[in-house]
Amino acid sequence: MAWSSPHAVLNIAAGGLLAGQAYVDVISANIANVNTNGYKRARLDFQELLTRLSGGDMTRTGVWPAQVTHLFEQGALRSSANPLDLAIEGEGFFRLRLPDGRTAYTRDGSFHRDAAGTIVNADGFPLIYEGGIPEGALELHVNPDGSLMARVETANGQEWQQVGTIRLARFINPAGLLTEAHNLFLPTAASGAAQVGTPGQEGLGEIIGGALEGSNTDLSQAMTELIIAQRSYALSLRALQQADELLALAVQLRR
Amino acid sequence: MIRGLYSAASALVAGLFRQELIAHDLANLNTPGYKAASTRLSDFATMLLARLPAGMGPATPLGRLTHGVQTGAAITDFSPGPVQATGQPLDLAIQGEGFFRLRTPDGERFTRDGRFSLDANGQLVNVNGYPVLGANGQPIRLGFGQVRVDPNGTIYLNDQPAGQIGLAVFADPAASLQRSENGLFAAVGAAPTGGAGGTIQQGYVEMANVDPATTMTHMLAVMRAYQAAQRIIQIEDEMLGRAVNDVGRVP
Repeated sequence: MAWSSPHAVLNIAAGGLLAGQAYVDVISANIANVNTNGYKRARLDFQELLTRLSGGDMTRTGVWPAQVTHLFEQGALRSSANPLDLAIEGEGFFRLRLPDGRTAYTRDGSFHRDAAGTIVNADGFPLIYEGGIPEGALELHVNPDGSLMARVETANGQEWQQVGTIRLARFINPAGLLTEAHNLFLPTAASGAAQVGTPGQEGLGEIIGGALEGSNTDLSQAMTELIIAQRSYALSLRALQQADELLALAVQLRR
Repeated sequence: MIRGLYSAASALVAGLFRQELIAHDLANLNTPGYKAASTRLSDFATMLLARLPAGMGPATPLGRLTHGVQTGAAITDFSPGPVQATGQPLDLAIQGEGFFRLRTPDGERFTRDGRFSLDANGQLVNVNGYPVLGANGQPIRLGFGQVRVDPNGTIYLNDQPAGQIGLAVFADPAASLQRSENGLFAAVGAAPTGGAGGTIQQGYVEMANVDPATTMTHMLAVMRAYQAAQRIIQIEDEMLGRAVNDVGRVP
């Protein structure tokens, strides 16, 4: 004969509420970042929660959010007048040097030159690339294969010269990357080590100069998900309320 | 009357158990691959009810009366859930029979939840990191590049064949499978019966087979049954109180 307990029936419904809350939180983050360059939308993966009792039986304990993963579909590109606004079309990440020496990765390619002439992103973190920009470079341009071109004065007049190469990094499991503030990703054991390569080769994406990649949040999809999340929350709430009413009836059996 | 009390009490116990299953189903409304649970309600063994005659003759049998209701263990409904398009290349859904096979430290487990990714070594794994087994019973190793899975379960990496998804088919999943940790299913006794299994759809995930409308209707039924049982207990208690306190009272 199978039986339940007040603890079990209330906790399962409460777990459903917490899961619904987490679901709404994740969707809200996606919606809030609909205009963030290079933002990759998050997905919450749920799993059934069961506990093994000492007797060996499995008992139902509700649901839990197993992990938050990010989905790396391509965002839409829009053009920009700044030649150092870079977008990646395809797989890959730009490499940044953090102040503490670690390497971070990002899809947000809004770069500019700081007072010292270093190529940095909006937060001042330098872009990691091979080469260097000479003094007196008049104009910069980045080719799809990552070659950094500068227009310089030479004996023959002005001409374009390659002064560096921007390579991209990729990971076997980008969903395993850790997200940090400011659109940054950090590698973990789950993501695998960064593999650096030339843009456009062996499946790596190309760099589009003078363009920025938008967020890959699809507003209509996010709103639909929000409705589903709200309905699920309401259903678990009903289950919790009814469990409470049943227990109240049992308590009132004998006045 | 005591018999009536226990009978009604069994309805309360059954009601709370059914509420637990319903709460668990509703909590897992958005869990891919989740299979709803229900319970089988049956009578306790019946007993013979007889009427004692006036005088000391033999009793006249009236009929059988059951002691109340008992709940069996929860049974799982393995009908397919709705399939949702996600567009993720490593999200797979099974159209038809069969389960994905996973290798876990506790043995082989089965699931319909096809949300897969690659681990740091390029192995195909599920959300818990357990390797997905191919038709040859071994984990599937992929690498960088475009992954395509055709309806037969053949995996192509950059258009080169790189593996085959293995499906386990059970003739009677409800009898052969039991829920285990993380909502994965373990085989009890029977090994997979084999068979072709269904087709694989890439970019789709099978969602929970819980129907909110039906579940809410069950919940209403549980509430009414519980209220009715509680009322019976109160009435029985009142009658018992009268029998104890009022019968044979000498004014």
